[in-house]
Amino acid sequence: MPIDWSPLWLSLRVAGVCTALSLALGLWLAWLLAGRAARWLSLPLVLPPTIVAAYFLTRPGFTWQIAVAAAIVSAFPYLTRSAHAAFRNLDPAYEDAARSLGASGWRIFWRVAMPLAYRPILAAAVLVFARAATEFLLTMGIASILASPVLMARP
Amino acid sequence: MTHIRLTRRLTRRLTRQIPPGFSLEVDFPLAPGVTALFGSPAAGKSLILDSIAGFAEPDAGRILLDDVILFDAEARVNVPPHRRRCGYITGRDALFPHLTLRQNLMFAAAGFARLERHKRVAEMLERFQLTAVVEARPDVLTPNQKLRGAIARALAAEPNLLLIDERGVDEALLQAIRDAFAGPILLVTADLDLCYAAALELVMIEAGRIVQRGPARQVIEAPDSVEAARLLGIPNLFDAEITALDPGRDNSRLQFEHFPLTGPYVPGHFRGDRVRVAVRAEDLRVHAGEVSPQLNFVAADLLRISHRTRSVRLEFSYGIVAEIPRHEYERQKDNKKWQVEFPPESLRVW
Repeated sequence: MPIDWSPLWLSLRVAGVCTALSLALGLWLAWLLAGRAARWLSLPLVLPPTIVAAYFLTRPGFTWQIAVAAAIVSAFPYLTRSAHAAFRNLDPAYEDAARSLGASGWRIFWRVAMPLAYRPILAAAVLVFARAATEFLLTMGIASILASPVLMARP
Repeated sequence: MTHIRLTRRLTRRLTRQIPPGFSLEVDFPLAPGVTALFGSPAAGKSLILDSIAGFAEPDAGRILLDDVILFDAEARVNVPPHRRRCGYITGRDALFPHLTLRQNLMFAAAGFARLERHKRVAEMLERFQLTAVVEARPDVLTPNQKLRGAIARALAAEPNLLLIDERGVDEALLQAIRDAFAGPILLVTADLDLCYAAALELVMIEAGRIVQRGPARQVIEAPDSVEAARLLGIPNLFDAEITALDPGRDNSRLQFEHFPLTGPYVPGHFRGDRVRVAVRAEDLRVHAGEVSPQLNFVAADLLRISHRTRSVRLEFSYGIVAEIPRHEYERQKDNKKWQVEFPPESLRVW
């Protein structure tokens, strides 16, 4: 019996794209907010997946892009929060030193902040990837209205 | 021209040492060479450096560096730190831990073309005797190597001004810095000997205000106020009243609370004026009580003896403190009674 691998590829694709986009957005926002304590960043974390699913139910049709969008909504705040905490944990002496040496914000981000803070961010990204790959509630919620589990395999 | 004029009021607590309500108001020029910023802890020295480097924003004033305005409150100019070209050495360990020493310097010299960059970095590593550890990461360096590394890195970026707020800098290192860097150096220090030995100019700060500034040796040798004298660690500070003034003999009679003294002539004062007098501990001489009293001998009780590395500090009644060489003390230590001699020329009167 031939094994249909397509659901696995779909899961990986959704999780991969979701992680990449969340990282880009989350790092940007976290770096932007790194100077202050942004407690409200935890707020989207309490958003239950069913509500997210309910929102996406109103969108017509189910495509893998929508699955990605749904996954991002739940993953992005978590990543932002982790990255924000990682950046804030850095000794400000390094950033100050880099600035007094003439480095721009962009250069400080890539050459100083990221190399020093990548571990917790990487850990968060792995978790986000795993969660997006195995997220079933959202997919089921969205898929159920179309009453066609096959869609999982053939977007 | 490089000139610093700034005012800063702290409404909230920035550091543990400086209380809220503290205000800073300074105005001084910076010439090429070492200018020492001397003062007690929490006098606002580091805040001045932070303001110049751009990490603290003054409320008013103007900061000029080589005729370029870095900050001007009225014109609303506030150049961001990375465009100020101020090398800043803080007491904090700030070599990037994920880069080797060479990479740290390369990071600083990134603004130069490739060949020039390598040349500059190699030159700085050599000047600060770091060639043996170029490939090491900061965590294996000794504190002194880290400090030299931080200085080499700051100079590799070719700053226009060097700010040093680090107590590990000694005279030899300061000399190495001056050999490598021709611009103005602003050094925060609590080491008066270092100021005397290596600084061109001295700015004395107390509670956010300049107490006295000028050529370093002149300021240290001739404090022009009681506050300056106190900051320089002169222990004998007294109130007195002028009872006689004789411009012909170039002297004055001063009545202190417990004893009279003959002092130098005090221009600009009248008989009956209240003045303040400072005398260095090492300018006083001590004699046995049995010696027949001469000019400016004051009989006093010895209260406390404190042994120093090269001298002995004697604390007498009336708040008189004398510091004499050890051999002198050995000669006199069996004195039953004591007299302290105030050489008239050693009295500084305001």
